[in-house]
Amino acid sequence: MSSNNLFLFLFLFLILSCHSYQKPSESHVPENLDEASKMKYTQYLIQGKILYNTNCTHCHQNSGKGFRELYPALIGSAALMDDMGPAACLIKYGTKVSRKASNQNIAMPAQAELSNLEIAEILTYIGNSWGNQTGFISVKKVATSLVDCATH
Amino acid sequence: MMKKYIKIGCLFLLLGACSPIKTNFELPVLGRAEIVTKEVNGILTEDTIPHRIANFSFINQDSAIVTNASFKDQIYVADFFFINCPSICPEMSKQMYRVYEKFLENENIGLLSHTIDPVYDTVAALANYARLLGVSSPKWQFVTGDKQQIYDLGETSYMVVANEDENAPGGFIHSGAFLLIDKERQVRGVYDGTIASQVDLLMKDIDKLLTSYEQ
Ligand code: HEC
Repeated sequence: MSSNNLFLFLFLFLILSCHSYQKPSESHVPENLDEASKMKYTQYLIQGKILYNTNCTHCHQNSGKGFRELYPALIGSAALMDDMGPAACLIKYGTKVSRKASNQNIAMPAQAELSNLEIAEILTYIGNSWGNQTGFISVKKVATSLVDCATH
Repeated sequence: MMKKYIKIGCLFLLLGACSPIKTNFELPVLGRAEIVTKEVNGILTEDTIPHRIANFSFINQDSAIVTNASFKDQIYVADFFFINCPSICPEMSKQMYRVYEKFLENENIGLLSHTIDPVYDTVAALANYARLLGVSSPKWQFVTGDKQQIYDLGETSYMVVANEDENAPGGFIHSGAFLLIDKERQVRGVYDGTIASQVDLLMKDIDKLLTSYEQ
């Protein structure tokens, strides 16, 4: 490798690595992780934020605070507990029809086109932003939750 | 040397053209006027009928009947939405809520949201929607009624798209427009209800239209 090439390689490497470590400022990454886990965590947060901005913000807002009582806040939401099982089902399949009673929340629409990876990224983002701290949500966790959505 | 002055001159001309001199003008009356010929004393004459919102009769979230007469002493802002709309309606509701808050105490203006999904959006469903949004009639009325009447009124009177379409998100195709209607049932402005700056303009135009009635 010529020194020029080496320089280019280092330069690109630095740019790329700086970039992928820039977590969204509203998000939280635990301190006690090794470098590899931290990097994966951060990538999920970044990707999750992009997906959240295209698929969720018009209802739940950038701030995660929701809008009036129509669209609930995601900060401190009970649906984010229990390894986010209820939230994964809600995102994939929407509010169950049986819940469309007239004195209830309005329904959240299904987004069946989102993959398990995308749901995991979104959940990692909303679960660890604006003060939420539910930890990393893996693709495997999402897949497991989606198996028994009927119970949520 | 001369060239430089010409260039500067041109710049000023351009600046002048861009500046908002328009703000002092009256709001336009939108829609195509209809020309009808009729016979008066055996002589054929042409009459121009300006575009106006046709007669309508709907039911609001409190089961009250809403017609054109409900707005005879008010200007109003109209839009078309449906409760389970996954795409643009959440932003429209948020923007219309800004208008609601700004003119809450002003009795000369009303808001009128028509559902384009009257099968699902019953009076009870609309009442629930208004409750969750935290707004009340008669300031902001959510109306339902005969589906075809709503679609026809949307397309011919308000000049917006409102229809069923199985390929659209949520099953309906509709525009996110806010329409400003004066006391003479005329359309005075069309704004994109999903864009905050457009709704800022709407709120300015509302003030302007209200002022024109004070003179
Ligand atoms: C069209 C508006 C809309 C969109 C888009 C939307 N949601 Fe929702 N969301 C709602 C509504 C309405 C509820 C309340 C539903 C219910 O109670 O059944 C809700 C509930 C939730 C809840 C449960 C909150 C609680 O405490 O009950 C979570 C979590 C959630 N949404 C996440 C998301 C995510 C993530 C996305 C994007 C992938 C998203 N939503 C997109 C309207 C929306």
